[in-house]
Amino acid sequence: MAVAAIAVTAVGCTLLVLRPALPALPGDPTPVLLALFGLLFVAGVSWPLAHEEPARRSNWIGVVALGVVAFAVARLVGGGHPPQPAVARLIALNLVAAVAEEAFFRRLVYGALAPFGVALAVGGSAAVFAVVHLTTYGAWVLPVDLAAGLLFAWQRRATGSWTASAVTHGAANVLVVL
Amino acid sequence: MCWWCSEVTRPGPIRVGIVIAALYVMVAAATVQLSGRHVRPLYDGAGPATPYRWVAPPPEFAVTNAPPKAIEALVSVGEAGSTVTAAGTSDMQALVNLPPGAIPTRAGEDTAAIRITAVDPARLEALPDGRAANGNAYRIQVEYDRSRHPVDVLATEGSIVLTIPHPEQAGMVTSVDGRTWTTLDAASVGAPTLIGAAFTGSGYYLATTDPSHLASPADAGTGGGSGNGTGVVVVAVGTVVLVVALWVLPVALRRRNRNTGL
Repeated sequence: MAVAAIAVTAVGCTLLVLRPALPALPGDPTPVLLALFGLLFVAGVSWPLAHEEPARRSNWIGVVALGVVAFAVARLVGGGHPPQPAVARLIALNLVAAVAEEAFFRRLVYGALAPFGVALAVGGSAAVFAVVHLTTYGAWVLPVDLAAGLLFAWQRRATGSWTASAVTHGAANVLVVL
Repeated sequence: MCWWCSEVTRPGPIRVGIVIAALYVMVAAATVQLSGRHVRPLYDGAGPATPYRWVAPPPEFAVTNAPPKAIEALVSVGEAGSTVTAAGTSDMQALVNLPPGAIPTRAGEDTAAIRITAVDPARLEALPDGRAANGNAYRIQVEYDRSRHPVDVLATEGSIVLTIPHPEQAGMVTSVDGRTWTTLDAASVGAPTLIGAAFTGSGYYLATTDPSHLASPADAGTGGGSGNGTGVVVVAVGTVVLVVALWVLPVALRRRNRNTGL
């Protein structure tokens, strides 16, 4: 089972790393992107985990609120203007990306690493999440995405579910274009 | 009582979360200071942009090129001037942001129009300092909607973001008439293929680069993504190694501890 988890994680991460090559394809890369995120989502939500943690609904809202506030503060601290206009297509794609990546990194990767310890699950899922974005955005974004990955992983740990980090990640991706 | 090492006892998860959230904000703030760039809350999303749309494509992109988009956006202008506005082309190659009051109030006018049109830079005057055009020039017209009276200079400057096909040594120039260029204080914003500068009023805005970078057709036309071929392969291999190590190392450590009786 571990070998299968390694293989699925490696394939999913490699596909994310190769995203900068998409524009070289003929035509609009949006369908390919949607297919990629669809694959990640299906793999993430359907992967059989050895022992699922029970979801802790009581603090779900507080955990999400804390994450959203952190990303909102970072948006204000970061300043500047949005890099792209907030068109519906971009917002929708960013939301799809957020949900798919959280299913993949916080359910599959975190859940598969959890038997080895919480520290490895939190740190490992955050590290892989940060590394796969290097080719799209450059090495200098590694600290920001690593810290964000730790925050998402904490949300996963605190709620026992990947949905809190998915909602927070979606909000963060929308904040990028506002 | 250890949040990091126990599967069962997790005291104060919110307190731990506050610490991690604060750490994240501090990292974002430090990145702003150290990189000298505006920092987005998260470098994630849909991924690279669609291929760059040229007015006059280089020969290697002539077959697949799609023409760039234009836009006309209307802005309300009240007693305090215009409202906050972000007007961008639907292909996301040009974006103008205006703060509140950027377009001053004018008698008889309650709306202004922002028009963004891509222009072939070869139709404009040569660039200063031996620079070369880095993609299309963009003609941006701001004028009151009723009288068509132009707004040559904004009351408060906004910002402009252009997508560029060549990320290396990018800059930006502006010209009121396309003849005399002024170099702007431009910087990469959010991604290597996006460059931003102050937007002061109507005119032509053009991203530039060193001509030597135009010789690498592999970069041109992508409009997105920072990875060159070698870099992507290195990161891909490194990611797979990291993934394998995440599973293999703890198993190896457990075996070693078991063998040594720890």
